[in-house]
Amino acid sequence: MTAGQRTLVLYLVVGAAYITLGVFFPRFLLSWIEGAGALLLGVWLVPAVLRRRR
Amino acid sequence: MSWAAHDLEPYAMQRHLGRRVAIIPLIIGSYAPDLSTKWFVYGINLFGLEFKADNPAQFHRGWPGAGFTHSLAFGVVIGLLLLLLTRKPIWGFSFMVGQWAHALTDTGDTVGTMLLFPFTTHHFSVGAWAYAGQTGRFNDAGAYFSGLGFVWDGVWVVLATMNWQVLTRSYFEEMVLPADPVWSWAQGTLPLAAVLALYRASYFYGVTRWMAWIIWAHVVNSYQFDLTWGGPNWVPALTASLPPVRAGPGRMAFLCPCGSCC
Repeated sequence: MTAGQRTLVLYLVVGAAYITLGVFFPRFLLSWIEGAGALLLGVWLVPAVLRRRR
Repeated sequence: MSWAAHDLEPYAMQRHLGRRVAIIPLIIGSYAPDLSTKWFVYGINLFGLEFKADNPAQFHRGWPGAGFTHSLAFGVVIGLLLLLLTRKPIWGFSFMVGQWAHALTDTGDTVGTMLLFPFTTHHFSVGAWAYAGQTGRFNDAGAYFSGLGFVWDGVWVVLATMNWQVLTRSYFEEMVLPADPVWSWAQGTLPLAAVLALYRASYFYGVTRWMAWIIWAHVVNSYQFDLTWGGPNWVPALTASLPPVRAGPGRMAFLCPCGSCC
């Protein structure tokens, strides 16, 4: 899998998680800041922490 | 009003306008008309006190009210102010393009926008989907994602996704980065993965919440689809061109103050 494909899969996984969260807790769908925060958390912060712990 | 189009329109425009626009003011412009008004339309509770417009549609789209934020002139004035403040024509132009897209998109609902304010307070409205902001945030979502509004947003989901190249790292580095020094500053402060996530955030937010609201409205809840023009008819929609009386089954009217259409 190329780096680009890995990134795409990561975004899709984070997107699916955010949709699931939003469906059951729609309050999370109302704020752009929370949406962008979820994206930053999922595609940057969490992977960066995991890489550092390895 | 639109729920996802304002998130996605800037990416389709970025693809077509290239380095002639900067994505940050484009996105800010696209959100600007609702930034200072939506909270008062739906109401908020602060320290036990509720703040909500007595007539949400009048406040959001009308005059007197904050409806001037949805006029083309508002984009020109704020664009010129940005030009004066930043000395960057691209910032002023991009803000104006984004704000115009918002004002034009919102003509799709039954209240419409005062596009040509201050020359006229006439509400330009296509009337394709019901304006139901006065029913509260969640009922408004249920109505919007049951009528033609969500179809319109779906068009922008498709258009923005068809222009997927705009979301790639190479496009960002070749076209977006050189157009706006803010991104260079961000790149010097944050890792590239974070900067790219911020660049893609509005696309992510628009597409994911479009899908989530549809599932929420029709799987978790049971709002009825009604794709008729001006629907869904089960919600008390406000309209701009009728006198303020009940104008049909379940419909309340909102008075367009322009004197030529009422």
